[in-house]
Amino acid sequence: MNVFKALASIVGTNLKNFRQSVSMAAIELNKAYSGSSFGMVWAFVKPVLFVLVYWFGITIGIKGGNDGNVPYIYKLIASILPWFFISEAWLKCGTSIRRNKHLVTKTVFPIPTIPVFEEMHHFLVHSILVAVATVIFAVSGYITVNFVQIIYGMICLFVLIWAISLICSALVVISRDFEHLIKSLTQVLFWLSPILWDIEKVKNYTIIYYIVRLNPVAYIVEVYNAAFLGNLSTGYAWFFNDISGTICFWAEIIVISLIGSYLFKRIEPDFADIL
Amino acid sequence: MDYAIRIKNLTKAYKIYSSPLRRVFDSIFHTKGYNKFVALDDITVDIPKGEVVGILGKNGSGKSTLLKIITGVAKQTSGEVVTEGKISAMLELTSGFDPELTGIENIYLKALSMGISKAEITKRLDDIKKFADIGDYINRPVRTYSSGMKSRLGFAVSVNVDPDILVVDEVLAVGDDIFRLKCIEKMKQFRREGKTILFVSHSLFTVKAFCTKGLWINEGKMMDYGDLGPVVLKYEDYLKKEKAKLTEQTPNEEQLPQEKKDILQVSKFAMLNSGGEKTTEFKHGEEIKIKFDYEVKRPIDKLNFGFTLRDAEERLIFMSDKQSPDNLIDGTVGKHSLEITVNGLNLLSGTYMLSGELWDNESTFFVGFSNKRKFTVSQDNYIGSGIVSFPYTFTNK
Repeated sequence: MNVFKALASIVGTNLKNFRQSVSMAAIELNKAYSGSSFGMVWAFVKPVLFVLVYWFGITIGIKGGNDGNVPYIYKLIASILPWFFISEAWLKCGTSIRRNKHLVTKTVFPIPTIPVFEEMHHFLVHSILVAVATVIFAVSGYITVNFVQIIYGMICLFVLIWAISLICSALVVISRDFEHLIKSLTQVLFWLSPILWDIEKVKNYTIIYYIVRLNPVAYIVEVYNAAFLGNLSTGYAWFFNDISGTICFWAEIIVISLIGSYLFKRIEPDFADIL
Repeated sequence: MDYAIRIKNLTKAYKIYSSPLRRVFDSIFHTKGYNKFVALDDITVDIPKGEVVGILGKNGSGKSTLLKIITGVAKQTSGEVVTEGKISAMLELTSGFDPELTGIENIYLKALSMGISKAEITKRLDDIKKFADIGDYINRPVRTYSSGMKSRLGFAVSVNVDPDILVVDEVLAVGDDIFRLKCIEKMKQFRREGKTILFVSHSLFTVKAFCTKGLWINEGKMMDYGDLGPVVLKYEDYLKKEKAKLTEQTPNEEQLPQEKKDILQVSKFAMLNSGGEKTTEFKHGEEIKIKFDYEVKRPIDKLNFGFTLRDAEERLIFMSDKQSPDNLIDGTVGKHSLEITVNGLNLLSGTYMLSGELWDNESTFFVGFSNKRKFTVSQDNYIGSGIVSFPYTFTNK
């Protein structure tokens, strides 16, 4: 099948069933926090604890971090915010079709929307986290006009995980090996992305610097930094100042989503048989 | 004729891979590194609207695969399936329920996964609640439900979406009798409304009671399709043959005491006419003798006999009282013989079936001596039509 046709078909299915996906995402959200008294509070406990632990480990433990123009904790929050979404949503979207196999084998369900409603549910949690972070930054006086690009950053984030989950969700259906692979790669990607460390620090190692810059996660972290910290960020103040990075990111997205759609459409007819 | 489902040369072959990675390789490149397993082989059938089709076949014969393809869950390898109208598939009642969500929330979840909008479900919510009939439990998490309640809720949702074609796969096996009755009742209502129902059940009894057409699949091939009676007959005949083959294959090396023939065995069954000749062709008004030997190997306290007469379409004509103390026979250890005489056979000409069994009134253990054995009745001169004749007199003034 033509790769472009495959992509168009998947996007089309998703647009057509958008309302259904929204409802499914709402139910997913409900599911995730039902049966616990604190409910949604748990969605914030984990990130807050993580931020505190990393902050403690790095600034107090190894006496690092504080070398920018803003206290390290702010830079940490801005950088780790997208990562919370990536680490959760990558695995959950990747395994979404396998976990929702009753939708594939027992009902006639638009399968390409399964990773999407799963992602939407995580994205909603992410949006609330961003809102909370915005309040913190605003109170501390960091919010400037640059903040508007957070919307762009969030779009990038959503599209990246969507494109990757096309490949992953289809492959995980075939074999759970890929689920374990995602889990392992998440750790690797975390340390390879400039989240806890600043990308400027590897500028002297040219090859490593460019490899890190090719990492789409690094680009998103950069956009989030620019949005929250503006001129005070160590990187660019606006995402469009980084022309090469932007082009590179979107080129990667296109390639990933084309490969993903092709693979997805090739395996989709067999989903019901495998599961 | 108006068809609800038209199937043409439908074939489904599963790809069997020795390793999942081979499948990944095949997906990327156009290679074929799998073994084929043919689940359905060249099936062609047209199902008119308003029929209730019972799908018969052993386990693994392809019934569920066929239903999955008709509903669109699975894709066929080749061939064509055309369906008309909204399909509601009941392939499993409770799948998709989240144990932590309440009954109401699960209704929305299940309906949504069937592609029904929230507004529409809100409209039908009362009907669903009424049908499920689980009271206050509807507001509690599904994990607190009994399995019967879960099925009830699942069935209620599937059935209240107003389908044109209802596909029911073996789902009535769960739940209690009242629930089953309710389901059958609802499906009968669908039948009256002229909706098409495809029905798979391992209970031949339910199929017989409910379906109008039969479709028999064996090892992926369509063996027969048509009015229910004849199809079921052929299917049962086949089952018997299979069973016979199986017992042939495993000769009695060491007999387990659980086997029926270690307790009671019937032999030398025969139907005799008034002249004492062995035959299956009788004359109207003649007497029929049913004669066989039986050997009791373990004493049976209350051994009863019973027999049933049916017409060619399996409608019951007469069944003797199985509980009657008048029908008690000798249940002591040893060889016995039993002769049942039906005097004055007033059946009209046609084909009939005789079934009968010996059974223990207390443990419901039974051994059949005849299973729908066919016999014919003929008459020399026409005296009327129907199944039986009655002697009558008249006065004319």
